Amino acid sequence: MIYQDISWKRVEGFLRLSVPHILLLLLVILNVSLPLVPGDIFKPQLVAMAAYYWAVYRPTIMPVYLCFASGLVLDTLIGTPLGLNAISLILIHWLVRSQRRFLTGQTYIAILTVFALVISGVSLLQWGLMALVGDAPFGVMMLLATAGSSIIVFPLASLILWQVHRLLPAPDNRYG
Amino acid sequence: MPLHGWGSRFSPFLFLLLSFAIFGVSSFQPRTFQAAKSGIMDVFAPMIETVNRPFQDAAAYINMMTGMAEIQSENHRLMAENRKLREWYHVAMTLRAENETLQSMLNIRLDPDHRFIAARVMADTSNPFMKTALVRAGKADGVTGGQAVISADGLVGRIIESGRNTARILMITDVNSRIPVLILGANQRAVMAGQNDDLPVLMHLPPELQIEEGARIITSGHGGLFPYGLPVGEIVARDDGGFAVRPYAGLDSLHMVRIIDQADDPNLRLHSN
Repeated sequence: MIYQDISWKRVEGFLRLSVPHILLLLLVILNVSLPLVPGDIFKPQLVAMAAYYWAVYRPTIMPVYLCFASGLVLDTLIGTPLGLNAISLILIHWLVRSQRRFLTGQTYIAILTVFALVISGVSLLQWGLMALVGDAPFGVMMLLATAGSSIIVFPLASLILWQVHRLLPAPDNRYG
Repeated sequence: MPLHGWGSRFSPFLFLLLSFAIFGVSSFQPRTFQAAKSGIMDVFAPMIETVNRPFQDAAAYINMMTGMAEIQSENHRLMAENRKLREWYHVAMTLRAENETLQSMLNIRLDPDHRFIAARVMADTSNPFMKTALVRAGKADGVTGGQAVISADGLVGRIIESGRNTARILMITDVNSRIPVLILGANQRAVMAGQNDDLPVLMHLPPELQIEEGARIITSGHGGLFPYGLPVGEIVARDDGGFAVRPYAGLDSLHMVRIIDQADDPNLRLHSN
C-alpha cells in the first residue's frame, strides 16, 4: 500500500513537471506563427518570456541546455541562422539567473521593467549579429515593434506561466 | 531530476560558445545543417498545423457567418465583372489563335508548359530578419529548392529549403530576394530587390527612364529561375525618385499557393515514358 502511494506520487510529480515542458513546446510553435495574426509586426518572443520567467522563479524548469535546444528548434522553424535564438535564450537565462536573488523580492512592475530591458537588449544583440553576417542592413523599427509586442504580451504570458508554476511540486533544493 | 542537475552545473558559457560557433557556421555555410533542419521541420510540421488549423477554420467560419451581406454585394459585382470578362475571353481566344498562327509561321521556339504543385501555407514565419513562410509540401511532392511560388494573384517567392513533407518559401519582399523583371509598357528590364518591408524596389533602371505609376511588372525569365510572364505587381513611385513594386499577391494572408515544377517538356516526357 505504501509502495503504491509512493509510485503514484512519483507519477503525479512527473506529470506536474511535464506541464511546463508541454507549455514550452506550445510556445515554440506559437512563437513561429501566431494564428489569426497576419503580417510580421506583432511577433512576441514567447519562448524568451518563458526563459525569463523560469530563470527568475524556477531555474531548474528551463535550464541552460533546454534554452539551447529550444533556441535551435526556433531558429530552424523561423528560418534564421541556427544559433541566433539559442544565444538569446542562453543569455537571458544566464543574466537573469545571476540576478535571481534580487529579482525574486521585487514587485511585478519591477519584473516587467527588467523584462522590457532584457528583451530590448536581446533584440538589439540579434540585430547586431544579423547585421554582422548579412549582406544588407535590417530595419530597426521592425525589431523595436517585435520587442514592443513582447512587452505587451508578457503580462498575459506570465499569468499563464504562473498558473503552471502553481501546479509544480515544491522544489527539493535551494535553487528551486 | 539528474538531467536538470547536470544542466544547471554545466557552464552556460560553454553553451554560449557552442551557439556562437553554430551561428557562425550556419551563417556562412547555410547548407551545413540542412539535413538536420529539414528533419526538425518535418517533425514539427504536424504540430504547427494542429495548433493553427482550428484557429484558421474558426476564422473562416466567422468570416462566412458575418460576411453574408458583403458576400451578396460581392456576388453582384463579380457577376457584372464576369459578363465583361466573358467578352474579353472571346477576344483573348481570337488573339491567341492568331498569335499561335503567326508564331508557327515565324518558327518561334516557345517555353514549355509547367506543372504546378498546390500546397497549403502552414505558417507565416516572417520576422524582422527574414520574410519566409512554411508550406505543407516537400520533396515527396516534387518540391525542391529554387522553384517559383505563386498565389492566385501573383508571384509570392521561391523555395529555399525543402524537407520531406515541408518547404520554406523566401518571399519576394525578403532582403535576400532578387528577381529579374520586365516593366510592361516601358519594355524595360530591371531587378526587383526585397527590402524586408511591403514594397520591393526596382534596381538597375536607366536614370532618364519614364515609368507610369501602376505599370504592370512581370517576371522576365532571365537567369532561368523563374518562367517568363508571371504577374508580380505594379509600379509605385518612391519619395527618393526611385520606383517600388506593390505585389499583386497578398503576402500577409496566404492560405494556398502553387509551386511551379520544372518545365513539362513534351520531349522529356516521351523519354521518361
